[in-house]
Amino acid sequence: MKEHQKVSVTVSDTEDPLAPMIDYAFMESARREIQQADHIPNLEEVRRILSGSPGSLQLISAMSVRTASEWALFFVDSSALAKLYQPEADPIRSKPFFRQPERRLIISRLTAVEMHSVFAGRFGWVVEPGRSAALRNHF
Amino acid sequence: MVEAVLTVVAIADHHHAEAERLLKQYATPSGSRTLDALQLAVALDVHRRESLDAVVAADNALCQVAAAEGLPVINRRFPA
Repeated sequence: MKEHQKVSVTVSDTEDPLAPMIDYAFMESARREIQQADHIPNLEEVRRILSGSPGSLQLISAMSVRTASEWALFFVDSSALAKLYQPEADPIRSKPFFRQPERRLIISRLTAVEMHSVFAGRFGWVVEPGRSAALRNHF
Repeated sequence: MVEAVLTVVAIADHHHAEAERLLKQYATPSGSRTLDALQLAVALDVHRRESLDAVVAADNALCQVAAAEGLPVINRRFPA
């Protein structure tokens, strides 16, 4: 670097205030499942399966540990997340919320459990034991 | 353009205590809503650490309690 050149240094606090709450073990486990999955169905495939033909499907739970402190922050309850997969739900109304950029969506570990119940109870479809992979592409 | 990011947070012991408080305060004879209380306990914790733009749910009772606790709410059951 030459002597007359200037350097701008920006120091920002990038510590995630939610870091103590994040279930890193669960997210890492899901990430491994995603990596090992033969096929990650897209949202339309999930809806098609839920609308009629039962069969094997990998339940997906999206995971990321990226910090996005400047993004809009939403806590998503299981009831709202379930609407994403309802075949009868209006896709125009429900999908954009989950696909909009620069949104950080928080779910509790409880929601990951409740989604099994949603699929089994509401849609009459059972998630294959041990195959609860991820829906990362749906968000 | 970066799409939305999903983060999973754990349930801790103090969330159970907070859920008990919510149930004592808001539970109705028609249902104890235990899991909803736990969800809200976690949401309140998140909100204290980093201000939430909204709690998103498709459940009227949960939305009512969340609003009563001072959380901004988006009710997907009756979207605007």
